[in-house]
Amino acid sequence: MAANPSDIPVPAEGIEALVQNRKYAAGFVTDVESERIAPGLSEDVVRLISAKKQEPEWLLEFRLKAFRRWLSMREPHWAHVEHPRIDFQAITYWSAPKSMANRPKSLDEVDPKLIETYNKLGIPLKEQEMLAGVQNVAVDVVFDSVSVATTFKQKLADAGVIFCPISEAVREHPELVKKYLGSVVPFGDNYYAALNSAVFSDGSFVFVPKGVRCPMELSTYFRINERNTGQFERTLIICEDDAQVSYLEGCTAPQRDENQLHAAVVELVALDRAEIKYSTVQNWYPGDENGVGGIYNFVTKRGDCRGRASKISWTQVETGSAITWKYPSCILRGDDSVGEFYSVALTHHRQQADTGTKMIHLGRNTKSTIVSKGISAGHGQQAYRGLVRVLEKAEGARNHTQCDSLLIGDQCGAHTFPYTEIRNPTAIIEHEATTSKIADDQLFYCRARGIGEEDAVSMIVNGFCKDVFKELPMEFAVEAQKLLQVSLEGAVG
Amino acid sequence: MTIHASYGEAFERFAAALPATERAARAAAFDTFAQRGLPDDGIERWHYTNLQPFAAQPVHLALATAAPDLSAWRLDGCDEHVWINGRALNDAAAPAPLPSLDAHAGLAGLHRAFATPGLQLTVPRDVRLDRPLHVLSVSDAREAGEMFHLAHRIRLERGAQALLIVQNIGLPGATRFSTQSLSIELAEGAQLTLVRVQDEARGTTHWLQTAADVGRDARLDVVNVDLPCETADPIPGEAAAAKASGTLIRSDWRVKLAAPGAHAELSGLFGADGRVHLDNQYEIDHAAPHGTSRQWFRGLGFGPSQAILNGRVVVQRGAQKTDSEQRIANLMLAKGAEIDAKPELEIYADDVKCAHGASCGQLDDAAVFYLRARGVPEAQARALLIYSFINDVLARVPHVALRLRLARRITARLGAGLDLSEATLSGAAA
Repeated sequence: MAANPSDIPVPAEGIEALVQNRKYAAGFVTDVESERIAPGLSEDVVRLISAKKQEPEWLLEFRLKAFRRWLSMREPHWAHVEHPRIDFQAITYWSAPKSMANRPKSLDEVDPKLIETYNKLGIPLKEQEMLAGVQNVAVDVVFDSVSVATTFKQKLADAGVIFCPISEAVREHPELVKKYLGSVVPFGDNYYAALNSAVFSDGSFVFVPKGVRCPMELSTYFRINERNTGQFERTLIICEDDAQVSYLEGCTAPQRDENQLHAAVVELVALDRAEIKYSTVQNWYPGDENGVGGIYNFVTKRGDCRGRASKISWTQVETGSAITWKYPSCILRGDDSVGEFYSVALTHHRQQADTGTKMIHLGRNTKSTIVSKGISAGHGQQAYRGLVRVLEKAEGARNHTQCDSLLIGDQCGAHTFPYTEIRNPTAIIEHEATTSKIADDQLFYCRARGIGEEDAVSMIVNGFCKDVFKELPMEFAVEAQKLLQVSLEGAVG
Repeated sequence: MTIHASYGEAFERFAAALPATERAARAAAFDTFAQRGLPDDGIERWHYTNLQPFAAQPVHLALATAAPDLSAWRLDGCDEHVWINGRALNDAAAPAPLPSLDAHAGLAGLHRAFATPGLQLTVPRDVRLDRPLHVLSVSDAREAGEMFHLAHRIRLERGAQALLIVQNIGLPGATRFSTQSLSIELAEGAQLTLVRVQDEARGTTHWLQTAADVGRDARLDVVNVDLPCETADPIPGEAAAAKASGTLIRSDWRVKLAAPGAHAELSGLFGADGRVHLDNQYEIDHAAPHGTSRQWFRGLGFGPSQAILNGRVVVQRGAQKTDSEQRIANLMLAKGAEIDAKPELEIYADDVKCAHGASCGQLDDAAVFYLRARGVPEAQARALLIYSFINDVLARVPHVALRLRLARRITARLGAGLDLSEATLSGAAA
């Protein structure tokens, strides 16, 4: 059931309103005329997408190779999730707001309805607002299959940073895209990555040159709007020697009864001493309390610490999606490189999540840290699945994994599948996990001091997640806490 | 799924000797095997172990051989039951029901099709066996591709108690393929201690499934010691039988805490070397409230080998007040060793206490230094520390002579003799 946008009060500020609405406030549909191709997937569709984006021959080849590989692959079934078979022929692989056919030259030309959508989501697009000191964040916005606007381009360009839609990067910086695209997640890496490589639509491209510290946080908001469309964005971030960047991503989708597929690929490349921090607040539509609708979020995210002493840090807050299947990973190739993964994942109602990370230690003295907090409520099923692999040459590798689960109610599930594969005798690997519930005495303590039950639960959950929230940039940390509170609505009592 | 024609030929010969009443069930089991083949590493539970290549290898039923000299393995004061190549040496052949297995359908089919009865024992109500049972399964393969399949069953009635030692012994020789199942049923208040020692020879492919049903307030203690193929000498035909490693041992342990108050303690110790592929899958299924379980595992990577340790704890919906703990610790002692450990939790109830931990590392240099500073030579200091590391598990072997034998074998491989005697061991265990 698609909510009529006029039924939902338009929030002045996204988060405050989310809290007051006490339901999925991002579930509205924007009535924008869009251009979409017929559902179905074939080589012709892949060619059509490539043609629509006026892509060079090598990229079409990349897509076709991926598509042919995908046809030969089996859908993975090892994850601890259940869903009906996905009909890949029922999905529309390309949808773009019609007004984008003639790309706007500036923000003033962007369809006002789109601007309105993002305003509802609390994403200020207008640079003026930003310059007025609201936030110092550059934003790229992806609506269904295309990127609609990127702010702060000039200021970034002055610093030498490239931040643009990946389709634009293909045109403007083909040598960079060609060099790095598919170098971290090869086109045939896994079933959904192969699908993405064949049909990917748009996404962000970031290039930070040698020695540059990106002057502001970069951010992308993804939005699925059309019915029965899949979103297949592709993000590529490259940090050259001694460069640094912090990147944030947020996601929402309208409330619909059908399941929609989101299969993204994110590739990060960190060269010598470079540092990439990638934060996600994922709030795709989770489906209703009976498990009707919601996004299937099947995402491949991987960072390659290619250079010496480079560092990649993933932070994720996963509150949305009917099903989450996602393992942001680090390949610690350079000596002394560092990988980090901080995650809060929440499943409520009928949501399912199978998420975690992979830390592949290849270089000497590489270090990785994993902190995962899973919260399960209602009929939610929550699984942490993580791999720590230390290969023969990774002398002195070090990993510490902390993995905690919190259960709220007796109908939910919390699961842990930590794989460790150690092939070097000098490795030191530790894994600790606990499972607990919100103790009655904790609740009683709060209630005796006049704190309502839901607030008390929210407070305890926030405390449980503190180790992860402190890794988020400030604005996101606030948003994440509120999101968690909203998502847990009705979990107790 | 294609299986080698020799399986069919072996089955025809095997079925011909069966009583007519059994043939249909055996043939159905064989058909399942023929259709499904053996598990490959595409199945999550078989992630690290691929048995499929073995289905394409020629096999034949293991030949009857004369009883070998077993004095090196014999234990004093035990009731001894010996099987050689799946044939009973001293047990009367009693008709036994086909084993039912919760495993990969093809593999279970193979086992059911060919299984010969092993130990079949019921301990009556409130009886406490005063002598330990010592089950020896000897594999003595003279020609490449010999196979046999053995099914044991033990049932303890209400309040019964027993100590069971199951030892697999491989005599050096040709390549071989064997499966073994051990079905355990513990009625209310029964107590069983099971010690399994796995001593297979080079060139063996072996699958074991132990499935236990633990009743109300019953208790199961398991100590599993894997010390396969201590020599690294290759044997003829080995490369064909096992692609990456000479020897492949896979053991599935399924313990179901089926009624309130059931308790299980699983502990395991392995020493892996000689290109062995050693895959242990432990699962404790808390199916009823107020169950408690403890697991301790210690692993030693002595040399080129791949050891897999999967410890899974499932807490079913409604199994409230479950208390479970699992600790895995591994020591990597040499290059070329690989240890893959996975402590899994699957929890569907909220009022439970579940903790697990896994670590992998080396000896603490500070501890070695401490001992050396007190005049202990380095090799001996290391041996001493490793001995104390494994003793958490070894001390759970209730039979002192067996414990001493195992301790000596492991410390002998550390290159520094420790002066161990029954007296020191008893002290260490206290």
